[in-house]
Amino acid sequence: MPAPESAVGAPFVHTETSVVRMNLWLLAGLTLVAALYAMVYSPAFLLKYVLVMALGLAIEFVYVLLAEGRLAWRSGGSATTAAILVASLPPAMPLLPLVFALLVAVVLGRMPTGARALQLNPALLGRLFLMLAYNQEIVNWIGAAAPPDGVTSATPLEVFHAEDSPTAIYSLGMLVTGRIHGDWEGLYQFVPGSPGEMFTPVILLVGVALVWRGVMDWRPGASFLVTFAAACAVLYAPQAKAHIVDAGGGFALGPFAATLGATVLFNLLSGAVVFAAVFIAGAPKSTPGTKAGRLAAGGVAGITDALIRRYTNYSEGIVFSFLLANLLAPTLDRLAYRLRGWRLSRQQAAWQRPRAASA
Amino acid sequence: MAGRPASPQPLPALPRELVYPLREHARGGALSPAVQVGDTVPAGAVIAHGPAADLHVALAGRITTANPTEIRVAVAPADQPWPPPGRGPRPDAEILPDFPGFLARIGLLGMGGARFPAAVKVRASAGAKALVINGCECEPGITIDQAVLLNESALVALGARTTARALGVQRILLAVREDAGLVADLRRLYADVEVVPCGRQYPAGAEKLILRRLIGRMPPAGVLPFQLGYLIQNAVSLRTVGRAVQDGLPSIERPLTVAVPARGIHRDLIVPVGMAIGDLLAQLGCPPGPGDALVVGGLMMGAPATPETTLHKGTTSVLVVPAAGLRGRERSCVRCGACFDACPLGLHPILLTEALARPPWSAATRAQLAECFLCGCCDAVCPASIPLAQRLREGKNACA
Repeated sequence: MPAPESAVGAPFVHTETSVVRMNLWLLAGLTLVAALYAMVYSPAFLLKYVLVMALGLAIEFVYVLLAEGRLAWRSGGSATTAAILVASLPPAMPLLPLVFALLVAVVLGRMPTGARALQLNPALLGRLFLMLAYNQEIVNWIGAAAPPDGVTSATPLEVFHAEDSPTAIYSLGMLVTGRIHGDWEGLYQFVPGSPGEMFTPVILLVGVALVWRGVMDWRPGASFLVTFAAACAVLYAPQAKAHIVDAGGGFALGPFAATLGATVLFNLLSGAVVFAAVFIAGAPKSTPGTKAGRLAAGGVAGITDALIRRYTNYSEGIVFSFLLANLLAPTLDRLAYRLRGWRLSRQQAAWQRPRAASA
Repeated sequence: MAGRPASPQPLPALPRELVYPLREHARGGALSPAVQVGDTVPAGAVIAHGPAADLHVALAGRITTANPTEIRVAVAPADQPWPPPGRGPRPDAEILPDFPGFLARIGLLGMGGARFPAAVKVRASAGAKALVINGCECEPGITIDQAVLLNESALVALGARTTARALGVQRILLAVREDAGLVADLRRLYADVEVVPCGRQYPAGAEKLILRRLIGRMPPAGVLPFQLGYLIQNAVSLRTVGRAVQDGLPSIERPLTVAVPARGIHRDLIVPVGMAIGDLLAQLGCPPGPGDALVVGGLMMGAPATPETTLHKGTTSVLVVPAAGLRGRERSCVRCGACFDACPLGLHPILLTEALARPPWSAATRAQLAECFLCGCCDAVCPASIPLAQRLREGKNACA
């Protein structure tokens, strides 16, 4: 029999966890959401979705061929990146910019690995490219489902942002079911947002399933949602208070809490918050590995997103807030590592002293 | 494996030679040979002295090699009994006044796999309030601790009672895998022992995790069980103490599991320390084939072996597994966090291995490395097939 390979040491058993399996699970969850969007709004979207995924895979194949000299895919993860990218963009996004964004996402974000690689979420990197290079197309919501009036179409979140009011200018039921329609005072025609943002309860269920299957960790997503909600509550509290005082002539806790609660809930359910919590917050490579780091990164993204929504001209801040969290990921990991090591060394010293004394 | 493990069986036939690499058996200090080439030794005779544990020959024979690195014994006669009869019951006067000395004389090393000298451990544990029998076997596919606990309960109980008497310990606990049927059986067999279920999953049998179950929280870093009032001894180690007390037989028997899963072979045996693995497998009719790999000591914490590798006192199992696919192609870390989640002590395995690659090591790195007990959980779940356990092992070796 052959001598044992010296490089092979314990453990001699491994779980079935693999990058491919993780990607397939994520892709399955995302495809469910995309399929719902296609059923409700635009069956043609599925074609675009599949095409972009195929393009992602093709780019990965060529990258592996040129960079590693192999005729193979690495893990097929570029399909997931492509799916997240196309699901987070306006449905009217033309194909050519999308291909450019995909190249940026896969070639710069997804494929390079190791210490010198960008530890940024590849799909967000692609989206950032579109925000910089195609800033008109990235906010073009017309032509999705509502008649293309070209001037007053907007997602519920954009209307909320433009009105700067905590009052319910929308129906929460509409947001929950994902059927966005109607108008606001004859000015704004409601149109759905990105395909991945719709059907938040389904996205949440997908998230729970992915956590349950061990595909992703609950910490970054949950931390993002909780801190985002808490930050929204703090940031919108003065506005909600002013609204109550203006409407009723005095402050009452009940109406204040109801108004603020509805505002926070709206912020949670609108835009890409839930989508990001499930498909972006815990993405491997760009998220800290340590548990404390993951909680902190989710917190950074949650607070940043709330600040962007409240105080900037952007109605949504997912890209910036998560790229900031991504940039901080190595630092958060280092801090968590040092903190854990410091606590351990203190304990070790405390228990070694009496041993040394008695020896 | 279905049902409860059967009683460990003796060998079908005796080996022709026993080999004792002294480095393998020297724990707690170097061994010096006590025999010369050409000597004839009876079974159980001391062949090397050590500061914390002597080494005994398992079968009678003639010394063919005796040097500071190795002792070889040609077994003769070929029809001698296995296990040997021993010197008979030992009196209290020989055991209790200097119990650590007794353990050193019988050559007891921790038989759960770590081979820490029992004499040193017991000496440090003077004043312990409880003795814990570690029967919490958790490595996949190994059943020897369970087989010994269930089928040789009298010896284990005798070893535990003797240890408790010597140390003045009133309370004896038995830590076992969480399995209602097993716990009920053991409560029946060990009437005066408190049976404590300690979890189902690997690495539930690690001392640190048994302590966590006993004290209700994760024990602080750097603490040893005796500092919290516990002496934890493996069930097979206590069986060996029982054997020495009852039959006067030193630590020459190694109860172990031999398994060839691909051929449906799973046996619990009692074999002589010093026997070569190739001889053992040949006797069982399952010599390893060209596509097989040999593993001793378990799939999670064991080591690769060859047919020439000899059994030592810490060998808990001999496994024959397919060599292909033992480890996938290593890829770059995708920062999935699986290793962080898998670590039972909440350490940061990938960051630790990255820090180990960049000396000098910080205090945080040394502290995390000191806590790691190489369970291999991080490595087993890594989707990028990074040999984390191997790198941590190298780091610990360099630190030692």
